[in-house]
Amino acid sequence: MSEPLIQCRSLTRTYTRGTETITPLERLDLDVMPGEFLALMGPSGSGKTTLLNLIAGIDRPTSGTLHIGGIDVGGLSRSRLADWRSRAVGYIFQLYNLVPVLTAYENVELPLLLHRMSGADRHSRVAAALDLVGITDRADHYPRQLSGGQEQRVAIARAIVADPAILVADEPTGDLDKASAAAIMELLGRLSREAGKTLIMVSHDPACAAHAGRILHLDKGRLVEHAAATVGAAGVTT
Amino acid sequence: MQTLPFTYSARNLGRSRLRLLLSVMGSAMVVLLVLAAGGFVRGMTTGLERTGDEANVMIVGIGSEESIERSEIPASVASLLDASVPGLRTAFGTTFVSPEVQVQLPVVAGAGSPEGRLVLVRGVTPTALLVHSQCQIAQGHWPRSGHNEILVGQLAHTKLGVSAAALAVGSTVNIDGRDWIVSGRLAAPRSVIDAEIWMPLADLKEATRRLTDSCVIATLGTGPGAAEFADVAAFARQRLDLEITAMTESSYYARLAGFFAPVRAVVWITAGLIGLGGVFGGLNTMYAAFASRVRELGMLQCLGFRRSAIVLSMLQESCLATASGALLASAAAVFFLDGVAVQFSMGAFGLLIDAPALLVGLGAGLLLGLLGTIAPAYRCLKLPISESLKSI
Amino acid sequence: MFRTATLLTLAAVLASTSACSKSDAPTKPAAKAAVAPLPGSYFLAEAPADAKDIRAAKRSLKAGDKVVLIGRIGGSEDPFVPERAIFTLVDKAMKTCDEGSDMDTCKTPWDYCCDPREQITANSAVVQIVGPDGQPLKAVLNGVKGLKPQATVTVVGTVSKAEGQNVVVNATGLFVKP
Ligand SMILES: Nc1ncnc2c1ncn2[C@@H]1O[C@H](COP(=O)(O)OP(=O)(O)O)[C@@H](O)[C@H]1O
Ligand SMILES: [Mg+2]
Repeated sequence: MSEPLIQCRSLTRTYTRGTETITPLERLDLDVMPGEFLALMGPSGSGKTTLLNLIAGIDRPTSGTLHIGGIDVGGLSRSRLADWRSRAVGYIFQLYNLVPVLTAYENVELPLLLHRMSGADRHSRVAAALDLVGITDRADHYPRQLSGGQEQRVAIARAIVADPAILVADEPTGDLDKASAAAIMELLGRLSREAGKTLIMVSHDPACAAHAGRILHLDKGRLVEHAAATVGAAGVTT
Repeated sequence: MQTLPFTYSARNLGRSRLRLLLSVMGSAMVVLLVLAAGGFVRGMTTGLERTGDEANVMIVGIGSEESIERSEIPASVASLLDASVPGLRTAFGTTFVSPEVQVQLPVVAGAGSPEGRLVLVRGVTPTALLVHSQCQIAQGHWPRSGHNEILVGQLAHTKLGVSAAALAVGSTVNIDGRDWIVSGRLAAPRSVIDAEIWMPLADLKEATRRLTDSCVIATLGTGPGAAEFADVAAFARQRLDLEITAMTESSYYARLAGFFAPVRAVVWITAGLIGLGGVFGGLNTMYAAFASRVRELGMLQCLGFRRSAIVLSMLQESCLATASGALLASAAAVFFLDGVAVQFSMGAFGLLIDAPALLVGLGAGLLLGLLGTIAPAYRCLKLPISESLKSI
Repeated sequence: MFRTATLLTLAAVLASTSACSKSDAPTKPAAKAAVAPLPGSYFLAEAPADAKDIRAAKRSLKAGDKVVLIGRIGGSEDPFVPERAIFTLVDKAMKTCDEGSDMDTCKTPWDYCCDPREQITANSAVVQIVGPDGQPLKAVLNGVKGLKPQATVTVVGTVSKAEGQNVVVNATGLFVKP
């Protein structure tokens, strides 16, 4: 691999609440190569979600630069950022965030409504995504008719259906039992290996983080240590 | 802009049955009220407009252009007009010239108030039925002069606050201290004449001890040689000694309708204020609906949907609810409000739920949805996406 | 757009179901050609001499008399007749409603509504410009060359009728005081 896909330089995010200033992310430098599977670990409040949101383009840095695929994401206007998000990133949430009044199929279809394509094209893409996460037989079910693991599969299908290069996942197994969590991690691993997605995942669970190729530890908004996956699994300190 | 699917808006309504019921019924109530107000205003204005015929010219005393009841003109005006102005409408050798006396008199009928209520009593000759083409004798016969007979309009009982039976053909009505017998019923649908009492001109003049007429109403002819309004007006001008002036009947009733503009304004303002209450109710309902899905709204933005697309979807959702309410209210109004008689100082009229009234009602329903959505939508969408996603 | 269309359709359906309740409109007289203003030839460039006041003149006038009368246009809300060359002229001595007192709220002071009707009539004369048929010309006067309510006008013409209070002058020339 030549160029990093994601380049963070001196990335800082501060919040001011009254007179108090909180800095969840401070002067962070980070490169992520295309196709990399990166796990973010760290204590609660260490800035993992903040970093993820910046990379996903739903938040903007206070200072420093963030280049993704050569684009200065921090400098995009609100609407351009929204367009960029719809093409470049898939977001996987801890609590799935499926629309309860839409079926699994319709939930997955949602991101495609932002893009110009034929109905047949859209249908085949949704079907392929549902097939990839192994939930085709539940396409007509509403979220309340699905188990947590199945819901997260639908959510993953929704994240990949528009074929973004980057997937971000914020504690994707945080609300799941061990077996379902393992299955979801297996699925994410496959997406990284077979579909070549660049995956950045926040997790508290070392077993989950172990699926990643690289683990980063955040503490008080700073990177604590870089470690290879094998080493990282042993060196978990949370 | 890429919009959210309509099914999303529609199905969102089903998230809470109670909330749906509340917004549909709430909007139905507000719209019904607006329709009642609209029906009142439409009924009143069309009642006055329909009474005035564009082809009719009225001759009244100079200075009494605003109130025929104050007008006094010599009894000779009718025949002078007939003789002086060619081109008035004729049929069977009779010119459409109707000398009339119009006067408000206290009328007591049936179990109504013993002091009576003021009703417009019109003294007429049979030509009145020619110039007032919207009038017909629905029942009974034309009152014979000298027999104490009268015609009563179909809404006269509403004006008097008595049952229709109290004015049935053959019943006795006391007008200004004297008893009269109902010889027939007069039908002038959607016109204020519907609330009047008619009697022979000579009888009314005798009963009120007057020699003058109030006005002469004439119908202009059609085709070549037909008289124009200006011809009648010039006739009136040329007779300085008669102290008369001409105006079109429709302009007279349009002016009357203008006098009631404040009444209509009060009706609209009242409906508007209650509607405002409805808007506040709607604000609460919609805020509760949207606030419960802030995280979902954050997710939609995270996918790349614009806030404008989301607001549009919210508007669809609430307008769908309020429009259904408006539809219910419209149906209720057409079945239960249309034609309901109301009395006012000029007479009586039926509430008129017609296309303009219904459009105003539907508009109010949509406005309700619109106003009830904007503020809650703003509050729920102003959060940064990252914060919306944290909401529980 | 599809959803907006849905709502519009609802509205249209609603409107059409009720449209049938709206029945025949009142009969309108046929449209007429626009009426021209009174030709300039009737207007005099200079004030005619020996104009008489209306009230005084009315006592002695007979049909056929040549007269020069001066007065102000007025006597009712609209002293003109739309589209006919006829108006009423009131003696200069009469005060319009805004001149008599501070009651200047009157929108039509030229109708002399503060005075009794008999007095207005006694101080008025009818002025008309007739065609060959003896009827007022089809012409617009109000607003033409200074003719308007309350304008002071000198009229040259012949008395066509003088019966009691009813004096009608067929004018051949009008001078409007600038
Ligand atoms: N919108 C905000 N306003 C103020 N403080 C915030 C906001 N979002 C996050 N923070 C703070 O930033 C810090 C890091 O948050 P976060 O990135 O969510 O941590 P975590 O590592 O648990 O995901 C926390 O202390 C949190 O309180
Ligand atoms: Mg977090």
